[in-house]
Amino acid sequence: MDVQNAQKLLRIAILVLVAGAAVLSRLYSVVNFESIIHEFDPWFNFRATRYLSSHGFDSFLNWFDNRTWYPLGRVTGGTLYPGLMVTSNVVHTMLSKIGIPLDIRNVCVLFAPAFSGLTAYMAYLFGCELKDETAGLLAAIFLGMAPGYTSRSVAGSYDNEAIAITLLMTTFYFWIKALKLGSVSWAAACALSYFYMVSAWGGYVFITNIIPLHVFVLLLMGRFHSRVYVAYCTWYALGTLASMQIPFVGFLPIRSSEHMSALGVFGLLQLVAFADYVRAKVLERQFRLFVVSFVVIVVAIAFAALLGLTWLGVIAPWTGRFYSLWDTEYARIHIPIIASVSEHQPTAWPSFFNDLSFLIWLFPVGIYICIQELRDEHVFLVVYAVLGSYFAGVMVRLMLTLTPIVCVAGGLSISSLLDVYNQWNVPVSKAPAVETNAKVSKKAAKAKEPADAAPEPKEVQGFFASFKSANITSSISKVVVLVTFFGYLAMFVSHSNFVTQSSYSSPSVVLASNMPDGSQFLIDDFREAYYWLRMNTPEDAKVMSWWDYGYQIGGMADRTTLVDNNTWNNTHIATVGKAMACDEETAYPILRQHDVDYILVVFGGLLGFSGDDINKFLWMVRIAEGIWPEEVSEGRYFARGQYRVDSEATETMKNSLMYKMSYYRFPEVNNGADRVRGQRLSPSDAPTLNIVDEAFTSQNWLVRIYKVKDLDNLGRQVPAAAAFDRAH
Amino acid sequence: MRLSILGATLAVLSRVVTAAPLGERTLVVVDSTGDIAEVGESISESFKSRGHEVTVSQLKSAPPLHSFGERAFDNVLIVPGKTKGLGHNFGAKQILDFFNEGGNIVALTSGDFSPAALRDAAAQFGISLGPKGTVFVDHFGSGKIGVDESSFRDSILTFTGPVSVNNSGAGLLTGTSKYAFPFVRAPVTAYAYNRLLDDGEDSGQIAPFVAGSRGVLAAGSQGRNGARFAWIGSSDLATSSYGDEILQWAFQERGVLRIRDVKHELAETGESSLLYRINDKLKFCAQIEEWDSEKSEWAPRQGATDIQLEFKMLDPYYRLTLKEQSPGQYCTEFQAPDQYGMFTFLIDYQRLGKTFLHSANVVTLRPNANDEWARSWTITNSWVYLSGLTTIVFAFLIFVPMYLALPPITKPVGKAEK
Repeated sequence: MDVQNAQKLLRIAILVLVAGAAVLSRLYSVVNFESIIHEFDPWFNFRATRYLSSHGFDSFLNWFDNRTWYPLGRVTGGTLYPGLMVTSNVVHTMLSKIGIPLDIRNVCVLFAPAFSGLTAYMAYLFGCELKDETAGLLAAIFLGMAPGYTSRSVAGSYDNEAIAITLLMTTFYFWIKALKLGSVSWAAACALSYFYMVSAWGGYVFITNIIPLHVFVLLLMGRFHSRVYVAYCTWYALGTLASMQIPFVGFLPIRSSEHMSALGVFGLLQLVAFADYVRAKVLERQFRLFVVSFVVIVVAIAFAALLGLTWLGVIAPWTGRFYSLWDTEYARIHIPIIASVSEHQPTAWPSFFNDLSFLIWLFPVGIYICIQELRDEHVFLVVYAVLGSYFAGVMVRLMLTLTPIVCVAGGLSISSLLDVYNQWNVPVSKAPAVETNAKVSKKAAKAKEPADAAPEPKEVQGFFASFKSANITSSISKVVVLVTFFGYLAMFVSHSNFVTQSSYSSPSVVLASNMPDGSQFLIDDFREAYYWLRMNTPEDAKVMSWWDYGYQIGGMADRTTLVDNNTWNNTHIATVGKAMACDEETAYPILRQHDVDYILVVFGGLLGFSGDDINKFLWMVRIAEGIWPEEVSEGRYFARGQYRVDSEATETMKNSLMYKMSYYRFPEVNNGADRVRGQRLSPSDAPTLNIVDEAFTSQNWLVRIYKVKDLDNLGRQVPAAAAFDRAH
Repeated sequence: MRLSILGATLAVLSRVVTAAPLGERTLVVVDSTGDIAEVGESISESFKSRGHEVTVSQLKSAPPLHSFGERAFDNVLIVPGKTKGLGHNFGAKQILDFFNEGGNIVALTSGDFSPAALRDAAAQFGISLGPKGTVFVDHFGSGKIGVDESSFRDSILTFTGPVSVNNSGAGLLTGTSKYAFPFVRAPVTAYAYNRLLDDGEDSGQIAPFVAGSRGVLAAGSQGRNGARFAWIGSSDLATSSYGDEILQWAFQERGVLRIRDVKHELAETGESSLLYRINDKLKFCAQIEEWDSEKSEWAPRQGATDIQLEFKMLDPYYRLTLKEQSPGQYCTEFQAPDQYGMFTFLIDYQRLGKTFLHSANVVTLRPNANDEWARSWTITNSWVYLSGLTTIVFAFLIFVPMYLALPPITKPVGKAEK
């Protein structure tokens, strides 16, 4: 077997192992818990997938969901990204066609790990394009295992991001290919994978902006070339047309401000191409005048048009999520519903180290190497790095888009390091002269390879080339550096493994805690309560809860909900917030108007579960206050500036429906000690309930379900009727 | 199958003799220590003759209203006597539970007998009864209370002639329930006071329980479940023709309505579904019937012009008066709003003295599906774009062969021109 084949085999083996490691490290959640869909959004995706597999694509596309957002309903088919569901449904169908009948749930649970294997492969291709196979393989293993990506793609985390990162890498790979070769077919492939990305995740806007930005930077650097023109125009025209076929996206690409940069760069490219053409035809002086006047006029017109159209409302105004990208305070002040989502909060510093491990300090090195080389594709990496780091700093969830570039940059830097320190059979002093043209040297190296049995030392380029002249690469320093980095790599794997296992593998539907003897104790109150709802309430019962639990109630309990995690209608959410925040007399008409049969609250006071509704309560108050400032006021829930729930609590707090439902009968257990707030309710603080009856409380009091009383048969006010019942 | 036929036969057979549609198991509880006990017995005779299955029982030995958690009777007439309480079987709670499960209750009191349990129960219906000894007096009459036409304001009874009432207990509508209404009001010149507190001297110090036409001699209430409650303040009234009417009403022989065959469908095809499209033409129909106690059967309620349908989602989008299409069948047609969501066909018909009709059906209005919009060529505005499209297609088809076929322009020509 000759060396080339052996290398190929080795590469394939390594890639398979990398994919295996990527998949297996994501299975902790199944091993530790069970094959279950995690968290919140995945439950909706799962429900949609089931709908798709049972009703077919046509009705899925036109799905009007009458089980959520009662009584408004949701045009679900037109307001979701169908890529995930369609893909898993295709996988499911194909598996059953080849005789592997798999439950759709298992397909969904294992979907994310399977795609992470693909992502690793795409990272490899991407790395190869940027440098060489070593960088590619390193990038593959980094991306395969980096906790920043694992956090969204463990088994059961059936979310759009699971497929989106794969598509992100694919699109970028195709883009680099198209740009390098100026090839229409690669650009078309890029547009296709962009379309797939659009169909799968709202974060496609990241691509929509980063590719134009890349092109724009290239233009500023004076690197306009027909390759750029061909690649970009093909991608933009095809990709935009294709993306408009997704009902949820529709005409956004030509109307929303977020897409304007792509359109602008498209126009700019035409102008530059035109200018290029004109320059070839006229004299230098005329050309300068032409360019200056032309640019001024065009920029002025374009800017005026953008302003005017935005002002007229033809171009949709910038959405709140977008503003919060630039001004982290914006959401907190203006849009409580965005700020209330924890994954929209700015990232804390430690999480960079937690999610990226030692890659976080290799990342700048990799980018530095890119800047040293600065071919077109390296410009892309630099642009991506700058944007990605900024966004990751602004929003926790965007750590996800930073991770791929960090992994690729890490792969670049380590492979460059290995290039220098992992050369054993060549005397250092006889290192060939550094060639400036990287491509040529690479090709030369490749051409030489088959000739010699022992691989010729590769040309070391850029940054590390400077070390070559200094005689530091003695055997000892080589060994030291290599051993050190091997240690780092091992640490990375063990760190990633540990973080994946300990932090990211919890389904959050089932909570785990440890008994005093160290054994695991599972708290299954959520499923207990949802199952109770499913079995004990009428099929058309309407369940009100805070929106966090909407998807889970829809998925697990199969009951109609008022609001869910889609949060498309702020007023409706505010209505629910108001019902929870007001006293019973105010809340009852709201409940009646919305035909609410049951109310579900999550209460962690007994268990010490801090993510409960009383801790989220202030968001309900704030969101309700946004709509009804004269009826709900945040200040009235604070007792002398403190958030109290015990006897010190304010009257408004004590009278609010949420407080009453959370603490109803609570002083009877555990001496009334609230383990989350660290406060204690005495029996005299026990609230009385008039408009609802306790229907169910789960084992650890985590979920409490109340039934809303019907209007009084005798025509009394409901509190009066309740008072009579209590007295007799 | 056989059982169901048997059941249906039995139901038909029992209907023949039934005066009330919902049931005729009637319990008359009498406390023989009072002089109004015989009134109760005479009333029970008249109900027996109308086909009620009457159980007359002394208060002390009266059976409980519930047996094994089920309502044991359909109608209860309580005639108290001197005994202070009514016993644990007839507490306010038991009476209300009975009522909430659909049982009808009539309480007959007088100036002398007004037990606390009955007063507690009546208070929950929004009718406040005077304590024992509270009677109406009218110094303008001959010691008795004269009931005339003005006493029947807001009542479901119609004035048929004056009645004189002696020793009547006093009642007052407190307004805590919107369903309570008076049968017979006191005359404007009457007032009620507690004669047990009257020691003969200084009687001006005793505040009257109620004065003028605010006082009621008999009052009633109907629950949302259709059960009825009536209170009659004196035996004189109970034995009069008005008393008879009140009892017939309370035991659901009069003013009993029902709604059935509620259906909604597409107006054009008559296809019924739970899922309609926005802007569909919809038709709604409901059969409304009234109980005819003389024939013992349900008869269509004809000629009503005040039955309204609401088509609502949070707020009503339509409020339409139903028109009678055939006897007892009320219908309307309308175009569904251009708004998707879960809409309710709601009939909430509440009329004084009649059974409340309530019917709510939730349907879904879905938006147009992707293939239900007009095709592009039917929209005239799109012709501009369509012609643009075809022009480009044709231009391309012409341009490409020309470009390929024509010989390239040689460079020297261009340079020569410059």
